Amino acid sequence: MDGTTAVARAPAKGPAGKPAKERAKRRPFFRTLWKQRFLVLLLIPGLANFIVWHYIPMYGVTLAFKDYNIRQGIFGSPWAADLGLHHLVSFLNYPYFWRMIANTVWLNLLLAFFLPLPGIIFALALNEIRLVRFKRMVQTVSYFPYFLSSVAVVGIFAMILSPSTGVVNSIIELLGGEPIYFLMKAEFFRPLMLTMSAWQAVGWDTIIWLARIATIDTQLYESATVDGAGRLKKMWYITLPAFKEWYVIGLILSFGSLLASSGFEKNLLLYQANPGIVSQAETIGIYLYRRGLVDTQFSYGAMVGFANMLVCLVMLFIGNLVSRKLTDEAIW
Amino acid sequence: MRRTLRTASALAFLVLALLASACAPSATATPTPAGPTDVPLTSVEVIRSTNMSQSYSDTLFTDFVKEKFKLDLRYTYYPSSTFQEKLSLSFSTNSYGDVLELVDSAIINRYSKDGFFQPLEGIIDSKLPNYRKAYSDEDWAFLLSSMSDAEGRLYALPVRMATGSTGSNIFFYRSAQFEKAGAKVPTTVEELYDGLMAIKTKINPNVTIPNQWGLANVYSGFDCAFRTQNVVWKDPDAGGQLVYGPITDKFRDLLIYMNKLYESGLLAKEFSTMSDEQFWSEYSAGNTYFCWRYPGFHNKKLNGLLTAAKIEPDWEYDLDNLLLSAYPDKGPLQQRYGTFYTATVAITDKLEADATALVLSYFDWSCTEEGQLFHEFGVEGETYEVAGDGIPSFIGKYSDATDTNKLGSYYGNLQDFGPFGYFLVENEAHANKFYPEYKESNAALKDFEYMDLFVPIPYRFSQAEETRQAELYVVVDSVSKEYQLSFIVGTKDPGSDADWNEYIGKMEKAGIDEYMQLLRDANARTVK
Amino acid sequence: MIKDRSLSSLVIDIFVYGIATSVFVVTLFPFLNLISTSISGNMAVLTGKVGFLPVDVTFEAYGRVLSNWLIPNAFFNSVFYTITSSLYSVVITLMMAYPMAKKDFILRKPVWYMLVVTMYFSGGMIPTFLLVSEMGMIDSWASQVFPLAIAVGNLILMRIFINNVPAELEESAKLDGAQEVSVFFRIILPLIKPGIATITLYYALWKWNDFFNPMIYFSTYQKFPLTVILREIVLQGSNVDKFMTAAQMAQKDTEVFMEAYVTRLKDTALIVSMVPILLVFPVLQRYFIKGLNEGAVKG
Repeated sequence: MDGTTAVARAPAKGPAGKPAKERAKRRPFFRTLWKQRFLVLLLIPGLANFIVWHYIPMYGVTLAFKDYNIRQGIFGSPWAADLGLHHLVSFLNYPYFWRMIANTVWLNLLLAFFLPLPGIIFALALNEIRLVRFKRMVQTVSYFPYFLSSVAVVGIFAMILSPSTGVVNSIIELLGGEPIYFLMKAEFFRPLMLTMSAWQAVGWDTIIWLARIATIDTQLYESATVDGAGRLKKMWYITLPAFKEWYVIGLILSFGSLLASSGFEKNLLLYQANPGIVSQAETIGIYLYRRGLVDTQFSYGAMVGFANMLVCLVMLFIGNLVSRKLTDEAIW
Repeated sequence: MRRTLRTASALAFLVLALLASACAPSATATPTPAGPTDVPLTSVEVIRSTNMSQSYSDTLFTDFVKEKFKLDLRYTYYPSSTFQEKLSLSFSTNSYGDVLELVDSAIINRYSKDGFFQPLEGIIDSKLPNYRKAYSDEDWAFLLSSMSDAEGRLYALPVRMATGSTGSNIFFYRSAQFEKAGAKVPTTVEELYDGLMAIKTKINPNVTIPNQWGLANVYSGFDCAFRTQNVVWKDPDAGGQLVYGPITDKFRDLLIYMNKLYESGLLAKEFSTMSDEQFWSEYSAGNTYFCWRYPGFHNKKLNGLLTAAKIEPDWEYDLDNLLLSAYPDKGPLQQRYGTFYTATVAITDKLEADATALVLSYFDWSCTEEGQLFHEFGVEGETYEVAGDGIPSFIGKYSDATDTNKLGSYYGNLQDFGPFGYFLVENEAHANKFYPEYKESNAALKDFEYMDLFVPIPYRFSQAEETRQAELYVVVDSVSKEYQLSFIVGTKDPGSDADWNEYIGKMEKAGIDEYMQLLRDANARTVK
Repeated sequence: MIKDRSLSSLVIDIFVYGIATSVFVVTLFPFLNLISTSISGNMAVLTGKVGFLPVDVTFEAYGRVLSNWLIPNAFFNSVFYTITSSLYSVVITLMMAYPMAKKDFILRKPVWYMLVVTMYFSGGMIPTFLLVSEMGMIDSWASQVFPLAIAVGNLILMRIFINNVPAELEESAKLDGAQEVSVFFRIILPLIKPGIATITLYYALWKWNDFFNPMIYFSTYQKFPLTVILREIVLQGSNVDKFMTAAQMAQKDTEVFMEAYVTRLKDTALIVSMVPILLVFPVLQRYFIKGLNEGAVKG
């Protein structure tokens, strides 16, 4: 099952992994380990990093089941009521629980599927440009928004979309329409989040797509040219498929983090400016932030985080499974 | 060739930067030279937010304290933008300091439950007589009742404010313009509306009411007129009981009025998302005709803006007409500030008895006339000089309010807490001299009823209650804000009983009654 | 590539240049606005007259920002933390990605599961802080380098790049009797340069923009990187106002144009913080892509 992804789909199709895999299966564990000692050696620093910095602190997860008391620390704090599940019960009892979940999932699905697209299109376009100076200038400028803080990004969009002085509404009025107060309307919240994120990421994302193009075997293009393929055909049949792997993996990863609201800061700023959009803008992140503001409730936050992690992990496994069946791509 | 050169220069830049930055931390880590003294220095770690005007490289202040009290104050600055996070982390990992400065009393109270702070109420008379002297007996009783916990322990010393620098905000008008439009300078909210409409039709079609800092701020001034607030407060019309403002009938009247302003185009369409630049540009364009700010603001800012824009500066205020009223029979409320700031100073349990005594002696000295002067202005001849009228003023680099070596000076407020700002007691004489307008307006307003601002409503929750009220607050607050916005922009009609009842119904479902009951009970426990 | 002069190619060119130009315009606009604001006069900023072009040009704000030791100091801190931490991260990510890309590596599957778990389960801020503190890394650059050195996403990305190396190259090298070690250094490494460049950029920017970790682990002002200082400057207004009483506000407003002045200082600080990235990153990226092209020819 494993190993179907990479090598089998390497641009030049070589005799792929199967024999090697079967060979590996018959060997006793330690002999193989010794045989692969170079690989093990390479693995050690990274693995140590994960064990020390991720696994050792993991005892902190118990916080979710305790009534955390700063003085007594994580070990000394008493267990929470309801068999330790008190904070979970409290979370589930939030009257807008389902609305909040739906908002989070919708927002993240939207971002997961559509956010990479502008970057891909832009990278394809850049790849076709032959004026090197122009290309370089455009690419460098396109990074700019990525370095702006969320505060600045929201400020810029508020300015552009302002119903009285904004560019967009001036155009709408010029065309004979009524000015729209985009920031005030709940139905514009998700498109706005998507637009802001896409604007910020469009240039930056090209880095990865262009790097991927750079690794495509140039022989493929040459033989396609010989076969009489035009630029569009080459783009469609050679360049675009090379993007599939990372796009799908990115999708699986964001599938796994559906409940972790991406673009939290922008979300928060929009929400704070305008409580009227709460019906669509309240995500788990916002909810937690507001709970945390009133009082620092470590245990409660930890429980929401814990529940979130469980769901994410399940989603990740499902996403990975579905993806492997449908597209042949998978994380493991 | 050129390419190689560019690459090489990029790499050289990186290497240089690496070298320079490797040197940077070591260069700044030089220890402060201790003066030649016989008495050993007591080192105290002070944690405070960066909202501070002392220059980071300036040791004038700490040297002075070292000399006088043998006290080595080592400041750790937590960035003010993340102060709460840093603080809670330092407590939960046992890495907190000895003294906390400029921390909101609510935060101190939260941690005091776990015994992080030393109770101070018992030693006020013996160790801090000068601090105590700054309060009248009545004020002191009020301070104890609102700042101490259920057992009567006081963990945080609030900063005593000078009455000469605080008081209710007031309305300013461009009176001449109202008169030019044939309207009178308003005294009631209806007259304000009529006046603005007259100006709109006769003088300036762009007249507008801009709003800064979001939805919560849009009611400013009008909430005083309608005798209500958009939070939980002690409503004098309900016998001083705790009331959630936004569900009262008075608040409904306020919303109807706001809706009227919005519908008529007077209230800026984007009142909840306006930026500072957008806000002030309306003032400098001369499109605003009234303003709700602190006394003296017309001279400090409003007229300056008009002058810069080459418009005749005509902002003024009238001592007989400082507030608007919506209910003429009852009159408006004025905003009352407490006799102390909720920003406080606290001593943690880490500080040993001897050191605590030393710190307290320093605190007490800071409350004397001499200590106040030192904290606000530093050392005579070095940082300030006294002019003929007796007003001290900064000299040299200290007089440059925009010196960016002081982070606080990005906002130009040289006067601040701590070094070169008031510390535990703000000097009354200085405040009176600097803000003469407060004196007049406070005198003119003295007979008006109050709404309290900046005075915390004390609560004593149990652990379970605390969690429950936090849970309820999130719902109550979001339902209320959502509806407030809809009522103002008219997607819901605040005048229609159906819409209003729908809102009240939603609030009841959100648990407003339980929420208020929790707060009232918790508040009742504090009243002794 | 061979020049293609057909009509369809012209249509493609129109689209391609159209897309590129529109992205250029849309992304340049706010930057122009930032620059213009930072060098315009107070009154022009306050009345919203500044668009793409500066009005009443003055470079005073730049003098202010650069003469303040805090910002250059923070700037060098940022550079130092970014370089050290991304170097370390790239090296161990690369080392880890190689075995993880080998389909017949015996520890591959258990380690993947282990990594995936860490993406979603974490002990939280407090135990991690305690651990960093136990290791004596509080208020030290090490706290920026060692904890959280590997991002699993970057690891997966690196693995994809390694997997994209044609398997036959490796096979033939092995048939020639090359050891695993030399296969890694002589065959794989040159071919995945774009991948290394990409994750270097990703790590570097992650570290450069990281606000949370420096904020948590540093307690000395001299050690804060630019992100913390910038955020302090940008957000100070809104935070301070909550604490301020009328008297302080009065003081704050003594300059009629204080808001405009603050806006200009913020924008200036923002531009100053962007400069190194805009200078260094495109050069780095080009260098690596050039390296790849050479590698591909050799391969």
